[in-house]
Amino acid sequence: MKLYKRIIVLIGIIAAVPVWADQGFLKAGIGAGFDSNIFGDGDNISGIIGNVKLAGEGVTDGELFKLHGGIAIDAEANPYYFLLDASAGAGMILTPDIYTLFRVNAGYNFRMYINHSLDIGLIIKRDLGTAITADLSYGYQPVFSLSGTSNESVLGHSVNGGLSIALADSLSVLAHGGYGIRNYFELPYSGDILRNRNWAVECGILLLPDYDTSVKAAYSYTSYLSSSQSFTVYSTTNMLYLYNDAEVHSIALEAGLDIGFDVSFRLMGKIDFIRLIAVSQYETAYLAVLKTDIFLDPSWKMEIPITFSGMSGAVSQSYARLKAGVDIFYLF
Amino acid sequence: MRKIGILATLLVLSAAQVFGIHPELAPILSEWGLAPSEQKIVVSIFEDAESKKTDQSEMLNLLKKCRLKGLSVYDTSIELLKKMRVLDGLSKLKIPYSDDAVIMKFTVYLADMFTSVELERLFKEIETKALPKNKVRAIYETAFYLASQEIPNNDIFQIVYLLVRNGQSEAADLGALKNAFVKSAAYKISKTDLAVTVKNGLLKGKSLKSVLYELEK
Repeated sequence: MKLYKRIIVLIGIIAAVPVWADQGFLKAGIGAGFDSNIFGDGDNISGIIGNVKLAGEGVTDGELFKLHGGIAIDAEANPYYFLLDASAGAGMILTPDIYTLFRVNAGYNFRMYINHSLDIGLIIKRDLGTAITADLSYGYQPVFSLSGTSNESVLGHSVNGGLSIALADSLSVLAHGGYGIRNYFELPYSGDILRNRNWAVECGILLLPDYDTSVKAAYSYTSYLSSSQSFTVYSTTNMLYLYNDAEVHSIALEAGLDIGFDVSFRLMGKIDFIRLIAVSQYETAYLAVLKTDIFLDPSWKMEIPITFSGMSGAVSQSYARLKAGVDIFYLF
Repeated sequence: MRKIGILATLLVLSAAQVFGIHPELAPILSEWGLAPSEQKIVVSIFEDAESKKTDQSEMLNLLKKCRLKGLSVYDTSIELLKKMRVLDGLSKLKIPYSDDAVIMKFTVYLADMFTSVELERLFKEIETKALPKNKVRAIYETAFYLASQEIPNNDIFQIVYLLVRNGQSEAADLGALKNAFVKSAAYKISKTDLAVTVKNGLLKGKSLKSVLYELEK
């Protein structure tokens, strides 16, 4: 009953968003597909999936100052479980001049059976001359586990900053760095709580040869440092680094291709090469997404996402998962 | 009898004046059924245009439109004076491809949207960049498309001016810009905000490609 109340409140806010704002957007869709490995593990249990997606966003008018609010609901059902992700957020955007942008956001996320969390963020973006854009952001994320057995109750702080430099009309280089702290307040360890830190650097290039094509290639290095080295893996989610120091080298590629006005393809691929440090072990995680968008007209859009993910692990369970579907959206 | 004689002479004189200014004006005014004093107001505006050597065909078209819309003589004369000012402003400018009838017609429409100072800046930029005729037409059509999307005129001017100045007025640039407006709901951005984003991006010297790429993020 508590869940239904939450859903009703969220749908109420969705309906309200375009009303209070000067401009409102609503995206509503329904879809179906197939998942070759519903639990993402070595058992390879497959099944059909169905989903419903709703997203509403509202913004007030004004070049200098804007308020925005939004809400999104993603529901997915398969023969084994039903999942609901819902989020609601609001914020303000301040642009004192065309070169500077301040953005403050506060949001609430609810992931059924898993956790609920707050997201508070501050972003500053500034153009330094015509070719360089600098950004700096701070995020605070308290996450509260809903299952009682999960270890995901955590207070997280993160700071990120970087530069994007346009070398030519069609070529930019990107460089970013970040630092984060995660304190797992429900996981006591030696009289204290478990404290993890991570830092990361990323560099990449962005090519825009024409309006229909974009290619972004990036390399990143992330170091995870844990206050414990007990070599334990909790789950196949991101918990690999929970009790282990690790370093991850990632390569990522994103490519976009538009064919005419109606059809666009987006390909995203990422490989993480993970090395656990205390006891040297190697793992590799893969992710590849091909998303095809077809505009039937400016209001009706069809999305065909195909996702391949997998893990080849020495510690985690190895698995491969293919998920494909077709969604139809109406854009208001 | 004497009074009738004087009135008849005056009427003949005023009719002669009307015919002297533009042969099409008299039939429009007589079919409109305006009082002589009202007719005189309109005629005096056309006389003024004649003395300033302003092209009167656009003003006649406007007069016909005002009549169809059922505007009052007062509102019509305001519209005519505005049009005359626009045409006067244009006559002082060096208009690119003024010998092309279509471009000239587009230029008159543009003059309704932009101030003469803005037009002068745009024309100078077109001349400096030596834009060929078909590109000039395409850039004007882009301005009219933006106007149809209810973008404020000062933003439209900035966008088309900056596209010409930054050398981004190829068919691919204009097509991509139009596509972004058609797909604005998918980007969750209003058309007026999209115009401001494009304008500010171009003002900062960013390429239209990178501005539109950022939108998709």
